[in-house]
Parts: sequence; C-alpha cells; structure tokens
Amino acid sequence: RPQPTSAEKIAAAEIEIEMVSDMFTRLTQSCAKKCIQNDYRESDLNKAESVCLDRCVSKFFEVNLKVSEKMQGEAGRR
Amino acid sequence: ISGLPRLRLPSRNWMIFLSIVGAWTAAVTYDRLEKKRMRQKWCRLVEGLAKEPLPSNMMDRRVTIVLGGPPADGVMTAREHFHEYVKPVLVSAGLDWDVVEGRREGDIRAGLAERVRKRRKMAGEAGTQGEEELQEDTEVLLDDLRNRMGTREWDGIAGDVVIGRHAWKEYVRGLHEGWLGPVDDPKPAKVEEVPASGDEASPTSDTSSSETPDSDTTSAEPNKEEEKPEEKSKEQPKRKQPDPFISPVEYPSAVLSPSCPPILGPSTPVSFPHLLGFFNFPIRIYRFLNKRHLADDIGRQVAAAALGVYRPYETTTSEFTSDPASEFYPPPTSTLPLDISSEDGDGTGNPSTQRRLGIDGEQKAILEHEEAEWHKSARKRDEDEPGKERVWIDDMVLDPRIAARMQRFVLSVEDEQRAKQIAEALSRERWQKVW
Repeated sequence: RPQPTSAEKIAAAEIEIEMVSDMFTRLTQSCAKKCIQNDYRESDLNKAESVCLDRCVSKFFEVNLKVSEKMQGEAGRR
Repeated sequence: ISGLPRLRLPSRNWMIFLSIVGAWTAAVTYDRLEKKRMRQKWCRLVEGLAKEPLPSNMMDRRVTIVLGGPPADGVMTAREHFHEYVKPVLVSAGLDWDVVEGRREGDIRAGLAERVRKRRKMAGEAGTQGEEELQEDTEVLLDDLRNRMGTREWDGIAGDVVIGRHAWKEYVRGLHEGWLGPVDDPKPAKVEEVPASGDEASPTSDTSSSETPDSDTTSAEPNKEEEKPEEKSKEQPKRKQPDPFISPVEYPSAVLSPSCPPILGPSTPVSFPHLLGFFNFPIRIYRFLNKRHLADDIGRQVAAAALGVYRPYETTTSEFTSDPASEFYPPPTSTLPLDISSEDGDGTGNPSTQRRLGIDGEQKAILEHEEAEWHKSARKRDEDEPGKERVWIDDMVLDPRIAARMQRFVLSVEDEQRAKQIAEALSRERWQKVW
C-alpha cells in the first residue's frame, strides 16, 4: 500500500487541528451561553456554574459520539 | 319587569356533585401549592452555597446517592421519588452527585462494598489478583490525568444520601462488608463455574447494576460493555451478584482496614414511603393529599446534607440527652423526625441467629417504620436456601468500629431559624400576589 506522502500527512494534520479547534469553539460558546448568566459580579466560577459546565461538556461529547456512531452505521450500510 | 334575573342554586344532585369535586380539587391544589412552597423554602436556604466561587482546578463536591428499588417494586419509583423531592435541593445547592443503584435485594450492598474495596486497593492494600487491570481502569487513568493537570479533588466532606429503609440496611451492610471484609474474593472458585460469556473480568469486576453519570465499572473493558449491551444480555440474562465477602458473624474477628478514614462519609437517611395493596387505598389517598409534609421532611434532610454540619451517630438511643457535644446540635424534637423509637427496635428478627450480634445504635432505628409497609413477599424466606442472608429482613448488625465512625448530617439552629424566616417571606409574597 502506498504510504501517504508528507504533504498528505501535513494536510491531514491541518484538517484535524481545524476540526478539533472548531469543536472546542462550538463547545465553549454553547456551554457558556447555557450555563453562565448575564449578570455576574465576580470573575470566579461559582459552584452552580461549575457543575453546569461539567454536565454540559459531558453531554456535548456524548451527543457527538452517538451521532457519529449512527452516521458511521449508515455509511457502513450503504 | 327588570333588574337581576332571579338567581337559583343548581339542583340538589348537582350541588352534591360539585361540592365533592370542588373539595377534592381544593385539597389537591392546596397540597401541591404548599409542596412547591416547601420545596422553594429549602431550595432558597441552600442557594447561597451555589453562589460560592469554586477555583477552576478543583472538582466539585460529589454527593453519593444510594438508591434502590423498594421491595416488590422496580427502581423507577425510587428514581421518581428522588427526582421529585431530593434533586431540586441538590441542584439549588450546586452539588454534583453520583448514584449507587440497586435493582434487586443486595445490589446496593454489592456495589457499595465493591467501591470501598476499590478505594482500599488504590490506597495501597494489595490484592492478590487483578493488579494489571487496576492500572487500565478508567478511574485510575482519570486520576492520573487529573494529577498531571493539577486538578484537585474537593477538599471538604462529600456525603451520602440514602433513600429508604431498604437502601439504608444495604448501605450499612455494604459499609461493614467493605471495610471489614477481605479485599479479595474469598471464594474465587465460583467465578470459573460461570459459563464463558465473553466477560473476561476477574472476580473483583463489577457485576452489580450500579449506574453513575460517568460509567463506574471496574472491569478492564468498560467501552466494550457500553457498546455491546445486547450481546451481554443474550449470553448472561441475569447479572450475577457477588456474594458478601464477609458475614456478620465474622465481624468481631475481622481486621479493620488500615486505610479506613476516621469519618465514614456523613450520611443522611431520606424517607421513602411506599405502600402497595388494594386495601391500603385509604392510607394512600391520605398520603396523596399530604405530600407537602413529605416534601418538607425530605427537604430538611437534604438541606442538612448540603450545608454540611454533622454529628456522630449515637451508640445507644437512651444516651442522647447526656451527650457532652449536645450544645453543638439542636434538641431532638425539632430536627430528628425520623428517630421514632426510644428503645432499640428489632423489627423482624432473623430466626436462625438467636443471640444478638453487634452493638446497639441509632443506625438501627432509622426509618424503621417503613419496614412495616413492605409487601409481604419481601418477608418470605426462600425455602431452598433457608440460611441465605437476606439484607432486608435480617437484623442490622453493627460493628462498633464502623458504627463509631459513621456520622449524620443535622441542621443547625441558625439554619432552622433561617428556614422559618424564608417560609414567612414566601407566605407574605403569596398574599401580595393575591392583592
């Protein structure tokens, strides 16, 4: 099997970096919108927000996983 | 002729109908409104906790919920009870939680004992088997990652919330089994008899049905389990519950684990009234119309757990008033509605052990009134195995070393006062809305 050339490897790495940073951005935006209220008086996260953020991130990844499993299943069937 | 038309009351039959329907609706509505108000009261009491800052490199406080399906019923009733009464206060206090669930009798005991043994292993007590799989375990990996990232565990107490008498009995038994029993399975030969079902885990693997938000299995391949639940259910229709590693008779001769902490997670019992049966309908109707008292009671227990003030369990209930530390917690009448019996109640005795094992303690009497409500099928002993241990109907055996370490959450006097003030403020708001 032909090995991927270094150019292809670089391209693959670039795509992966883009995907990861895109997911990170979406995750932070979505969870910040849901968990952190507009009016705050201090810079530290309080406990309610911490717990909410933990759960939001966990749910986001689970949803991601389930959806990608389904899609792979669909792609595998075709 | 002019003016108001001649007003008439409805006929006698309609009057009867409307008054019955009206009375029932009024009773239900009043009860639900009051229940909501009770819930709001306790939620507001603990709100302040959620607003405290938490450094981003510290994990949040995780309370362990011990939840089990009551005798002759499934786990969904317990879950709904939890969602309705316990969860709002936990959410309002900004706490995270972790559930030890049990579907059948003994599941909670097995799950809890497994957790304790795992904690002992991580603290360094070497078991003779399973060293390698411990290193591959998700929790160990997570801990390593957290150490590297500099994330600290919550540095205060965590706490346990135990829902129902059945879960309470299993909780106490599980604690004893975990801390007094051996770290390894004393009878590993049993596992080889289990037919090869693709479950390659060693006897210390988790076969009880405990669920947590992050899957808390101790088997070496947790991902496999998640992806192929159907295969497992075909090959292994009933998950085997590991037998207790130590029996209550062996408690006095057992060696307490050296890594046992001086305080065993302060616990709070939560009442779980559950009545089945056709002839119990009048009582159930009464309870249906009086859920506000239950909400108040449970709210108080969970708020006490959230606020974190605790005291040791009494060794004998008669010594309560002469306790030297009684200035630190309020008198019995106002805050301990669950301590009903002043004498040690045995309830249903185990016919096979005539002499009493263990010491007397406050833990035995907790939520005892619930035992009378259980369905009679729970009290029937299996004819095939008369000597088999039944956690629910056997007497609770307390080892003094474990019982002395158990602590209980109580609500302090100031918090009671604040709760009363919040209740008054809420009723003022109600009347203002009406005006």
